[in-house]
Amino acid sequence: MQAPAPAPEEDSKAGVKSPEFITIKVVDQEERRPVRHTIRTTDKLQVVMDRYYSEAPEVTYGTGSFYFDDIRLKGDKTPAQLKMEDGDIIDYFAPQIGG
Amino acid sequence: MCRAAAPHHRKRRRGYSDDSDYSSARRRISGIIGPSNFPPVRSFGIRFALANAPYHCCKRRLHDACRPASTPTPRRRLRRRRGSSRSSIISLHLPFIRPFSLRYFLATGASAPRRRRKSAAADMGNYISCLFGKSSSDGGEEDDLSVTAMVNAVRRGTDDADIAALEASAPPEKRAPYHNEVFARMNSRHDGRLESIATDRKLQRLRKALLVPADRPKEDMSELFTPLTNEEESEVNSILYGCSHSKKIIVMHVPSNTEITKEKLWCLRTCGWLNDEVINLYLELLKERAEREPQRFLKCHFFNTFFYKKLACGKIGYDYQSVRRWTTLNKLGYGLAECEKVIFLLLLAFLCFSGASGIQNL
Repeated sequence: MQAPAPAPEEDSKAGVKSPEFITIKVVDQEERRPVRHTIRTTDKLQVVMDRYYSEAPEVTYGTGSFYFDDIRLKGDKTPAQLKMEDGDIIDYFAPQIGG
Repeated sequence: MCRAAAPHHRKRRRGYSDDSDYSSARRRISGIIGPSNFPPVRSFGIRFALANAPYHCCKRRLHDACRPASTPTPRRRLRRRRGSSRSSIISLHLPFIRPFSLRYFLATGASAPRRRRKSAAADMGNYISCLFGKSSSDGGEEDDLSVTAMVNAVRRGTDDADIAALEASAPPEKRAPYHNEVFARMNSRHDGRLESIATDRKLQRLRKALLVPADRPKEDMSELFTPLTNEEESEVNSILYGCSHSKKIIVMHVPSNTEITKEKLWCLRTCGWLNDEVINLYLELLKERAEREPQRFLKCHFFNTFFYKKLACGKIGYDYQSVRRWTTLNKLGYGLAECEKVIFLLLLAFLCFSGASGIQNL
């Protein structure tokens, strides 16, 4: 991950909002329906996941996996712990079955 | 010529049982093929004359008495009676050879002179057929009357020295068939290729032998795969084949944030399909093992099963930017170039359950 962005830039981006708010985009592999969600950096990521499950009716709740880069996300983590920035993308992967 | 020879063949095969029939055939053939200036005298006629039987004259007189007066000319008969010069013998006409004389000829010495004539005729036949561009099979037949007649004609016309020279000169040398030549050439070319291939293979084997030392110690695999104890085995069986509490979390792998439930482990049953979480967890365990014992195991980097899909199977095809941050130095703590092996998995055939409702129903 790149070095954390300088503070003044972050402020300029989230000019209207509070500085601790970031917008995260969740995309699936086909990039059919990007889900944007703005959360506080101290909020749990479970909120974003729930939002995605609610936006995607064909996806059963609790299945699949969310990856930020190559880190698998868990609901009790916060963006601050993962050093997320504004506009970062979370990948949703449907379960892979094969063999 | 050949048409003329054909009936004669038939006659000869049938044998000399019917002499009169045979002589009439001779007459007919000579009428067909014999030129007017060559009296068609077969050589056994000459031999008969040379044999010069003592009772010849009186026998002939008897025959003359019973012969119809039209056929022979009186002048010829006079000459024949005298029997002195060779030329008169050669000009002897066929009707004079009666069936009896034929029989005499056959009885006395037909085999020896005939054999000699045969060989000569065969040689000459070959020669003549070569001249006419024929193959030797149809021209060089021993019983070919036409060839024999021609040979006789040539013999009469030429000297003995010429005949000897003719016989001594070998027939024109036959060229080998072209396809044989081509076949030999192709064979030689293929041999060359095979040789080069064999040399290459030998070289490769030599290189291999040089690169890989023969006395490489065999790794002891027993340490890597320790057998399970009875308790562990029973636990595994209860997890895999027990049907209760499928949502129960068996293990929580903290570094990778992976929860493994009983349900997910059921993919390890016999004939089951693997799922991504089990595989990714196993890769994490391998990574941990390598970090734990860096002296024993190679330094590897394992990409998860989504890496290739993200890199190459995106909406815009190959997309490096989407995975650029996966292997940064800050995130990994080591550079990818330092790794001895980089392993990534390809999911070639997969069933993507939308919503994965299928898994829940298992």
